[in-house]
Amino acid sequence: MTTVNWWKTLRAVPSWVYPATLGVFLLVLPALQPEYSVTRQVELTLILALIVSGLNLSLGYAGQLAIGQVAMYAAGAYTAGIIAMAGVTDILVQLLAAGLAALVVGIITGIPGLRLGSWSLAMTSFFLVLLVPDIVSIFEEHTGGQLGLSGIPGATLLGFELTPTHFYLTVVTVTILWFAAFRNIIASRHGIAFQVLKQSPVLASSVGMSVFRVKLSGYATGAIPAGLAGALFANLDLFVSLEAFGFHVATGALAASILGGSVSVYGAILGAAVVEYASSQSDSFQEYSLVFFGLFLLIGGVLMSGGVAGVARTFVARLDRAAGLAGRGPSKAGDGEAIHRIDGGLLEATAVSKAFGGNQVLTDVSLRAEPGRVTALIGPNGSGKTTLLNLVCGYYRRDAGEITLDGTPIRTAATHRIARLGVARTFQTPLIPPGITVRDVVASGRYTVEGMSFAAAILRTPRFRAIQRRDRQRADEMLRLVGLEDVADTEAVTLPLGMRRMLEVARALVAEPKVLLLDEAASGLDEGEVETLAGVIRRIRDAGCTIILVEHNFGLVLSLADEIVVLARGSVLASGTPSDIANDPRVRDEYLGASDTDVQLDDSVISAAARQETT
Amino acid sequence: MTSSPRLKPGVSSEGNPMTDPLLTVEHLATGYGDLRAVWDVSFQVWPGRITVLLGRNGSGKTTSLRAVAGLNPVHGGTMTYDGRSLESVAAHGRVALGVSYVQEGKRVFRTQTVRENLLLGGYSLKLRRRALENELGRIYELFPILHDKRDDPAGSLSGGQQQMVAIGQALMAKPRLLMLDEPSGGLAPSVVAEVMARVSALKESGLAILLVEQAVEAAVDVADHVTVIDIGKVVVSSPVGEIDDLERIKDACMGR
Amino acid sequence: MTLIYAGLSLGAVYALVAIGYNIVFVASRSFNFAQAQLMMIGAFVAYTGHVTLGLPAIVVVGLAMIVVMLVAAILERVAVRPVADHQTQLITTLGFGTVLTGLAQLIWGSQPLDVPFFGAKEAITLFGGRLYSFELGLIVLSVVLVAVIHFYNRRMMSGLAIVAMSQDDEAAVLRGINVRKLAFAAFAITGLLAGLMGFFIGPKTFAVATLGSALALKGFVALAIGGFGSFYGGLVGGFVVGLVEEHAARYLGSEFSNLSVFLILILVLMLRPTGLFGQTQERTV
Repeated sequence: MTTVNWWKTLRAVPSWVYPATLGVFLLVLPALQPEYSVTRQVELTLILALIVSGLNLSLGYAGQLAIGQVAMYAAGAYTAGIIAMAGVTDILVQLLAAGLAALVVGIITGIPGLRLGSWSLAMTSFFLVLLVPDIVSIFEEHTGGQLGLSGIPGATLLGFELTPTHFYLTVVTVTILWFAAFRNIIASRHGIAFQVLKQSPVLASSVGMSVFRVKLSGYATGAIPAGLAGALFANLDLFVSLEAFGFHVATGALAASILGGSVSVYGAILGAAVVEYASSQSDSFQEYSLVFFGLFLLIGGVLMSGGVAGVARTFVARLDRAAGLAGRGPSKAGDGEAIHRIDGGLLEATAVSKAFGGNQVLTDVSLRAEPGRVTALIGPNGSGKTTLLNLVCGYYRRDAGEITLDGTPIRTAATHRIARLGVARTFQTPLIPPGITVRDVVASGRYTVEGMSFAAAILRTPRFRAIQRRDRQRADEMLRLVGLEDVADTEAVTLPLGMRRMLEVARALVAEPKVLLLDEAASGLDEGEVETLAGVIRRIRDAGCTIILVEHNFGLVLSLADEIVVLARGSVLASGTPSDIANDPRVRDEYLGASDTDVQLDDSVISAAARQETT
Repeated sequence: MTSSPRLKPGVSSEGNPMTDPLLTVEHLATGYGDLRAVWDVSFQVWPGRITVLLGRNGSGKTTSLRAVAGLNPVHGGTMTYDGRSLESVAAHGRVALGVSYVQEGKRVFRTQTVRENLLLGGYSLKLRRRALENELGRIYELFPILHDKRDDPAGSLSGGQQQMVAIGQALMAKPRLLMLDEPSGGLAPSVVAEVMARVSALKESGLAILLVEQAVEAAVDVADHVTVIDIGKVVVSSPVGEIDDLERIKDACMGR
Repeated sequence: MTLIYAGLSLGAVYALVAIGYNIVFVASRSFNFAQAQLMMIGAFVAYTGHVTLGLPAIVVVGLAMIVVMLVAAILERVAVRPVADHQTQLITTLGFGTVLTGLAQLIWGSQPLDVPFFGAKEAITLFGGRLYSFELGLIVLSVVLVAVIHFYNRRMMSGLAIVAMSQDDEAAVLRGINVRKLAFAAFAITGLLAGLMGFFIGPKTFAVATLGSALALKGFVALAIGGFGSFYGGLVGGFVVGLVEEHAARYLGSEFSNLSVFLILILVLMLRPTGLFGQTQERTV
């Protein structure tokens, strides 16, 4: 048990202490008077680590395979080199200019590449690497062309010349600052947003994220460290040549990212250290390096995709469990957490039609969902219920008709904007991103509430802290409401189906939407869970929210709905109160086929429906 | 589970003791990945007869069919087809054994023509295209409209016609067991009647038919045996002759 | 005219890469980043067979096809099949391609090797322009291959099955189609064709280990212009890229040829993301 105790002590130390220790060690390293080759090795490793961290941000977190980091690295290096030749030797100015140059390259290439998804970005960014020599030779008089840019004057800081030791400290400091910033982004809601987006663009837009903008921000931000690395590289040897920016380097950086773990912050340093160390070892490795990089990618990809950092995480989790540090098991059902008043919105769909190919799915469907009421949408399979929800959310373009929220027309095909208007939803199959906690899943629903910039996240401004506190607070409130407070720190994907559905409700509700769309929220739940869910839905309704419920459980609908709309073959067959619908012979016929016997419903259901009406 | 009315619990084969069932599913448990949707489902299908599987949405009908077809993993229970266990046979291999499954939602190959779709239906026969072309006549006889539309992309057809293509594809494989998942779904009532009439006619050739339906009345009309599932478990299983009150079947389907 | 021939024959090389991408894409919806490296290996094998071993051309073609088919089969087994999602397949196939590049460098060195075409390199005069026999061969090969593939996909049962698979693989399984086997076969066939292509492109591009990345990229541009899954589109796209590249090099300078192709790529992605012959698909939830 000593190992367990030892582990407990170790885990009691805040997690930022370890990278901080490494940082301090690197900062005091010159005091130990190491050989030049050692500090140079560290410098090269950190420069590569910067590039790799940019890859991690775009590949690991934003989920975009972009391998053009090397082109941005080149942009940074040449920018720094050229302005140094022009007399601007201050390292701060150079870093700024190089970072900006890389950012511009990232944005310009990211916009078209991101439009078509993964392959296009991979290719456009890869293409950039191919272009580097051409662009360098086009601007030969500034860049030195094939010969390289030599004779760069030494870097200065605020007018003082930097000695090699000073420069070493500069490299270490820049790296530390960037990694701190990187960590802060990942720990903020932007980091969660990346995870959400990676799981499902549909989900991301349903909580109001612009898929394109989130992707672009990840990809473009990932360009910055590559630019910084370029500026540092240019000042390291005071010489920039094309050899440093070839495919060889690009694959090496990608291999380092995969090796260290793309979805990690500090894995980049580890991966860079291994790749850099191996490359420096011998000439024979140089010869075999492509084969090894290729194998790293191949094996790393197949084992996907945690890399060394992933293995470490699994190991930590296992030790945590052994030491009893893991969270408690789930508890049952929520108690009476009060819900804030929600200003529901009036959602109206008028004469909406939709066809897929030659298949008319919805014809002239109208619907009116009022605040503080549950409007249920029922109908047999293929009657168009989910299609109608998707039209409301903007996933499909409608062919005809109008949908308005509080009188404002909802335009089509701008899902995240519709979400921002106050339309939240759950999905038939719960969409839960892997790798984040239950609380973070709920908090991701607040992405659009109180905007927060990258800069605020990096600097951890007071406003950022306040928002983060509120994110957490509101998420916890929602978790109490649905009875998941005890599993708040559990990894969300490990939850069973019933809890996942509750989790989706909590996520949808945390943004205080005007309209809540529940798509078969009760399917797959056992009776106890259905009851809990019904209770939660009632309380959301009583708080004033407009609820649209698509549901097959007829009993649940009758007991819960204030208004029922029955769809059949894409048209509204009937609408009215639960007792109207329960007594409408056409409805059951539509569900179960024509009948000539009188339809008789259970007394209990009718009385339940009647009770609903009087409340 | 509610106290559902049981007309005849358990699996019954009393309907026609002369023939052995072609497919016997016992205590099947299945689902999607680690999510379990079906807990304990048993049913049988006989040559020349129609077994109807009823139940509301999400009750596990489709999941059970998918398990028989080999699309979903089996967590427990047995599936015996023609005296052998199905589990060791891959999904595409089951087609060659005579198990044809028509999925819900008219999943035809939309960009390919009707003729190409039907030819693909006969893929498991391992014939050359020339020989397969000769088989098309059978299907055109059953669905003459498909002959007229044979060079149109399947995606351009109406819902009912696409359903015919899907059934025609399944029949091209010369199946012994035909599983139909909501063939009437999303179709107008008149088309439903037509589809049901065709299905009913098919059993005359000795085909064993397993039909999943939401339209209780229409399905029971053509059924020889009715099995009702709710929340992944069998609540009613009975030869159609022993069903005296359709309302009770409907109640069972509604989960009451 | 000579310039146009040069553009068309270069374009044919890219079209051939795009054909390889498309076969795999249609059969398994995945993108094979190592396609161009397969062709590179084909070119090297052709060199070894031709120059080093002095084998007759027809034997060399057969050798290249078989060797590359085996390599492609290994590729499918180690880099595609064990990986579930297409995003990760990009990484693993890139990794495999990198390994091939590295191995080619170790085996054949990094100097470009001149691969003769059926023994001879002579120029022909046609419609007032001059081109080499291997250039004509490339253009003919790319056009014929596309026509053959199109015929195959319409007329042969396995061709129909591959197209069916690309639309709905579950429905394909239910028609008795062994989806995995066919996807594997498609990979093997791309390997076979890549071997053949390598033999044809070697005289044009030389056999050189760095061939892979440039070809991979231009082939992708051809694909993007033509639209994913469209064989005719890939052919047209390839010719467009080749012509643009040759004209840019001639009139603007060689350092502008890649840049011009890149601009075309960006324009296509911005203006017509589905390519000229691609189909749009509505998003589904």
